[in-house]
Amino acid sequence: MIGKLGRAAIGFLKEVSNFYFLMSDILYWTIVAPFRGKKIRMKSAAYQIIRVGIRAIPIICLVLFLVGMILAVAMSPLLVRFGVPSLIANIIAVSITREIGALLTALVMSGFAGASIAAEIGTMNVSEELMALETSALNPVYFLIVPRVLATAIALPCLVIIADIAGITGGLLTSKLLLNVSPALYLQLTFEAIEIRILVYSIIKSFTFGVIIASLACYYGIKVRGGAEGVGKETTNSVVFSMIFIILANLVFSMFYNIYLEAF
Amino acid sequence: MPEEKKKREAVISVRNLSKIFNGRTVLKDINLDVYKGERLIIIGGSGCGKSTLLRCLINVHQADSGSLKFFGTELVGLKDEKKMDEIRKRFGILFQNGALYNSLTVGENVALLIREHTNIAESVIDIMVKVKLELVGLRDFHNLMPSQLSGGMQKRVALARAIALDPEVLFYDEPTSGLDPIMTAVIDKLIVELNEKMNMTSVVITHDMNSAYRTAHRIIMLYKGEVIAAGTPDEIKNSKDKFVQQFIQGLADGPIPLRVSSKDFYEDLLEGVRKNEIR
Repeated sequence: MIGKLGRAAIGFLKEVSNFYFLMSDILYWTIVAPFRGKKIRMKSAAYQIIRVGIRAIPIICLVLFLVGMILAVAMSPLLVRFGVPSLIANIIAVSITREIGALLTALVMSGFAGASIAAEIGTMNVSEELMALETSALNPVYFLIVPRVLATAIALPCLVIIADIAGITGGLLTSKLLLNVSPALYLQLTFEAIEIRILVYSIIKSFTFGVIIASLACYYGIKVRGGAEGVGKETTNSVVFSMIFIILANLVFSMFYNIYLEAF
Repeated sequence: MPEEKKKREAVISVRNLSKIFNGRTVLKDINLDVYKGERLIIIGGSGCGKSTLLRCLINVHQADSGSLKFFGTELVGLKDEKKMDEIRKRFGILFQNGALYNSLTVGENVALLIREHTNIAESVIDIMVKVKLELVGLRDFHNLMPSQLSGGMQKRVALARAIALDPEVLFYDEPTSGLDPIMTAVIDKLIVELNEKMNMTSVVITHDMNSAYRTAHRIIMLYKGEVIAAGTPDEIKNSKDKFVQQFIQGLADGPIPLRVSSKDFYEDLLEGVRKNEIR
């Protein structure tokens, strides 16, 4: 029993240290290396933004549009009972822009982009492409991982803004149909409810989620051993751990917001 | 030959090199010199340590003890990545399955290293790519994706990529495995031509004896992580060593056991798994 616990603890520490080394490599190639003449591969990052970002727009719009509708449907009886149906606009605007928009977009992206990146890097690992890069004096972190992490980190805040608009639109349509709140009033109340600090908070949070998704996906991709089975296993791990860390990070951000930003 | 060797420059010099994985000695006291311009073939059965030796030579695996000098630079214990990168630019590798970058075209695969490591103009790179592809007999293939090529063609593209920067040493990891006899002969011919025309030192890992005889200046045989024979193709053919004779003649019966213990078998499997371990 003690032996098992010991082995698990050592395994955990090994994972943490490997991830730490990967993150320090990513930070080096993103922040330090450009000042030493090794420019970030922006063309590759742009390609990845299209791959992981633009292609995710339809699914994210659909999910957030439906979530906006669900929120409106769920809240409407209560608001009617209290005689403030138009408050629906404020509730949806704040809940979506502050928490739900970024959180759900990140969770969808961990499946959409994270799984894709983990499987791609994992397959490259199995087919010795990573070794080929390394032995050609091309650092895989610089060459493959940094563009993917940057692309996901840049794409996510943009996707969250689009997702927020989709969610608010879903709420607007449902409010009109169920509560007869006019779209003009709904939009007016929405703009009043959304504050700059909420938007900045949401953008910083979604940027962090992007880094979490892509770095974990790359980490599990590099970890792949064996063949197709290994790729499948680590891709699943990548999605599962991305979701866990996104939710944990969201909790930390929410607490931070309540402590430091709510008062202002 | 020994007199000739003394005059020649050793580009790779290995002394008492050992590699241990989880308590199991995979390479034991390897001593080896690779001379400039020669074609050295490393033979041995599956799991004998030849892939591990190759990975140590290219510093993917760090040896646990001994010395490995590449152009006079000690690689065992070398931590300086910049220095290592400078050495990496002096050798090329043909991986067993080609390891082409599947998201890039054939031309982009070959051009990648030239683009990344030199400041050569794009128009010149285009010409260089065409020349390299012509060398491996694949003219006008530069716009195709690797997935559109057969296994033999992929290996030839990988070879064109490996020689893109005209390396001084070229490593081949099982270059003919999985290929038909004609394609095997084509690859063997390329190994010889590249060595003769471009004076590239070649280190080939293989268990294909026909291919070894066709291409070798010198052959060494590994068994259980140790060098058990070294010599010219004729010396190897006439070796009195029973292990060597069983291997080169491909005999089922002999001193090399057909069955291994389950412990050895699992450790052989684990060795394969560890090749992909994060270092």
